[in-house]
Amino acid sequence: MTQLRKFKIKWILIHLLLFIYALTIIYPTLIVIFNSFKSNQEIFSKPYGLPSSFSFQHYIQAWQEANFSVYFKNSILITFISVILVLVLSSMAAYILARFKFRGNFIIFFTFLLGLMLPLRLAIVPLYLLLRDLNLLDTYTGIILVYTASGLSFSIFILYTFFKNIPNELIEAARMEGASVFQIYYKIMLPLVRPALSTVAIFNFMSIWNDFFFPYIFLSSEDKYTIPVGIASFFGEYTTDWSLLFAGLTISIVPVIVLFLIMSKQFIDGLTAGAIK
Amino acid sequence: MAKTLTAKEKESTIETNLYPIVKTLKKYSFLLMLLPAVIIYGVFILYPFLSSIYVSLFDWSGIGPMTHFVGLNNYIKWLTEDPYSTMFYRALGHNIFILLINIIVSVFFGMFIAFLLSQKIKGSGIYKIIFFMPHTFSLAVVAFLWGLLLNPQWGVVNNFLKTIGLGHYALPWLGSEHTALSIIAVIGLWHSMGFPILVFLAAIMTIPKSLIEAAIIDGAGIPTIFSKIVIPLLIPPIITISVLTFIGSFGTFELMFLLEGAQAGPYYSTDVLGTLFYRTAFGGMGAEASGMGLGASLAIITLIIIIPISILSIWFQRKRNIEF
Repeated sequence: MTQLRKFKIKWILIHLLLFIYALTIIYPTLIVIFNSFKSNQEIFSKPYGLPSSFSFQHYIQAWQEANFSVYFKNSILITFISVILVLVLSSMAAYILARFKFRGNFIIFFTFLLGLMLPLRLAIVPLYLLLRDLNLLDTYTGIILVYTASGLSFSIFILYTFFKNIPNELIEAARMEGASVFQIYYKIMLPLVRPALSTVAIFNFMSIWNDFFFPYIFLSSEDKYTIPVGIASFFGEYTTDWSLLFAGLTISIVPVIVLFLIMSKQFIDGLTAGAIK
Repeated sequence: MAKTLTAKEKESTIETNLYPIVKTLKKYSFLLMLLPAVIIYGVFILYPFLSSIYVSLFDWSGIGPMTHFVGLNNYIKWLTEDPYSTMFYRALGHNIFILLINIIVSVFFGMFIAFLLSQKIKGSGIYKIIFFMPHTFSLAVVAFLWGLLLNPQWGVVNNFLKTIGLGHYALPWLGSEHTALSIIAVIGLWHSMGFPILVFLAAIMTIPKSLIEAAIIDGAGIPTIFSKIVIPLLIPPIITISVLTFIGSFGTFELMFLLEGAQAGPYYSTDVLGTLFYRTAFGGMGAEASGMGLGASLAIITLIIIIPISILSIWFQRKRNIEF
């Protein structure tokens, strides 16, 4: 009897602790969403709790006046092209490095791995000068190239292991039938490493989509801003128009939350890859 | 003694001479698939890092030709000459402060929550998703979200403190030099905690259940199980998390920059190497501190701090791989 009670108390305690911690995450997020529907006055007098009425006026204002539609378009464009480039370049490179023996193979692989411990932002000075000299400052091309380059190390690192583990017989069989190196890569290898490709895609997608630093340094015209930089300029512009600020924040987090909830397993796998084996 | 060759013989020699080249080219044509990655990586990653070392040896504002070679003078400035050294050591101290808080909380709180989650409880999947959610937010969004909630006038946090009768704790948290850095550290942890929790949870799940059951039969309580069985098996993820936290803490920039500005106020109380580097290279620190060369040298100093730890972790991981 006492044991059962002890048992129950333990479960209640565990749930209570987890629930309190969950609340520190859910509640601030909900407050942001709730406050986006309130007027400035209501935010001031009743900052927490549900809004007295739901008006989408601030959303329309943020979307149109504060250019959130433009920021969204830019984020989507830059992120998607960069992720696709990273996937293509890193899977080809990892395939070659993992499956072919040639002089310099190890050095090249090692040099790619080196990038895992070099935070690229520390090389921002020459990178900035390089883009300036190539006339790529404030262009989509410039930032896409930088993102593509910065995604290679991690992606090659993950894909390399997967390509290494593919049994030799498959490749030999294809080679016997006269398939070229590229055909083997495209028709046989890629489908086999699909799980790793999705991991790599999500990891790169999140780090590029959320990045503030590079677009802040490289993009100077507002019509090229991505969401993180856009929101910074938005907060600078509408400092005290709180309901509008909350609406802007909501616009930028809700799509990510929805995407994360739909694909939470893939997200968690993708973002913790490398640390968990 | 010259040997005369017939036309046919000549042709065949050329063929046999050329054939290996063509053959080699064909044999190595697969390298074409490696080339794009190598070029992009070389131009946009390797070159900037190597060039950083070069630029750091010049006194150069970033405009005009780079002619004033100063050797290691920029480094000496940061390490020994006032006001640079004051700024450098203050920022370094703040990075170490952030690092310590992050490591302690990520490891202990992370392990604790992971341990709770590993008990077969209802809804652990939902908790996992909730705990990880902030990790998917942009740091810019996190900065402004907490900036709004901590607003000293009407901010939800202070309002809440007043409601529960702790009104005298309703402070301008981000505006006070005594609290700003700690609060920013907590905001950073709010953003990143999901990661260590899930890494520890994955590790805990691999601990053989029979081992824990045996311990329970032997009468061991939760604290004993935790310290004698769980923690020793968690050493590898502890090291992984510590290393990632180390690199992250020395790269921290966004929260300070967005919440406290490029000057990392109040009174530089939130200045870290990241904001100092940004100010030096791009923000301008007045006439005496001249931009790019000085900034590049600070970046190299930061790299020198980070790289040994990364190498240690790779060495460790390799060792672990061999063991398994």
